[in-house]
Amino acid sequence: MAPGFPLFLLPDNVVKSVFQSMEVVEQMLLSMVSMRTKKIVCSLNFPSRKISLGTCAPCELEIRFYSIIINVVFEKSEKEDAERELLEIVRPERVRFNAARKVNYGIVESVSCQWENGTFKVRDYIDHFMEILNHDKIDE
Amino acid sequence: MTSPASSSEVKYLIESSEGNTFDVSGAALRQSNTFNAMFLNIGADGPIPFTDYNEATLKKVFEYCEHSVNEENYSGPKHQDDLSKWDLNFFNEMDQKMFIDVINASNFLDIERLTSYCCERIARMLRGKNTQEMIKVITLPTAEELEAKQKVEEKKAAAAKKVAEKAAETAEKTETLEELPVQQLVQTTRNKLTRKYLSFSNE
Repeated sequence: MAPGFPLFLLPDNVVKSVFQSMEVVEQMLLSMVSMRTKKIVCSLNFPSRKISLGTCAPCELEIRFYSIIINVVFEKSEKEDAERELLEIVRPERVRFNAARKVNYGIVESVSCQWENGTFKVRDYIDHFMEILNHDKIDE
Repeated sequence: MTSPASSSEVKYLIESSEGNTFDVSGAALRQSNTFNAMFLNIGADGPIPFTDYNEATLKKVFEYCEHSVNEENYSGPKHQDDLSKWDLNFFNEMDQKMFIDVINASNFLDIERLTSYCCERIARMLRGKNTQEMIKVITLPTAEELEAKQKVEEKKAAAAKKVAEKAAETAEKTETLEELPVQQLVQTTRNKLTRKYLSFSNE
């Protein structure tokens, strides 16, 4: 099949079914691709239970629901990383995304990826995840 | 030759966009909820016009339905890894255009099993990819393409109306069933299809 697939030219109910067929990690990543994908992911009504923000290094957002734990880690350059305990990150250079699913008393499945950040600030990421998770506050 | 569906031996004539007709077994057609809502109990007088889809696409869709006639009733999405060799061959031998046509036809005919497998297959294209790679996989549409999609949705709503009218016409000719339930069935189907396509257009 050709590398590019015109997903959004399919009927809207089919597009929604495609999103529902995805793993949570892919749904969350896809929500960051465009406003349209974000809107669809919002409509999936994620059952998030807890969102916490780590303010010490590494600066990260932890999202928990059911057996899945997602960590969104905001990183600056290596140099600043060495002094990271004093680091205040407003706009990260890289974002790392780790998702782990607990299966049978242990973590047996994990997925991770990272990307170079564009203009998004940490605050934008927090707002984004709170919105798609229909969560109105940071729990910790 | 078409007649009310009561056994798997019954054949229905299907008309494609080219105006060609071919027959499909009642058992295969019953996997289509659209068909069930319109023709199952009243039968069809003449070919059923699915004229928004070409013959190759419809034959491909009904090839799947014929194959899965003996499978258990659909009970929700099945993981792609659980698909049979036949299923995998069925999907692998399609090019992208045919695959998209099959999804659209399957969605219109409301064949849950096939639509669900197609969706799962698309979802798999994005598995293990980061956001940059996802953007490359799902080509984001231009404003013109979205406008064209809107027109297609409107065209499909018109096609759904045409099929519903055909069902209504058939119902009127059917003398074996009581008038009121048939009229209710046709009206319900027409309303359902109109609602379905209007809701797509409005989203």
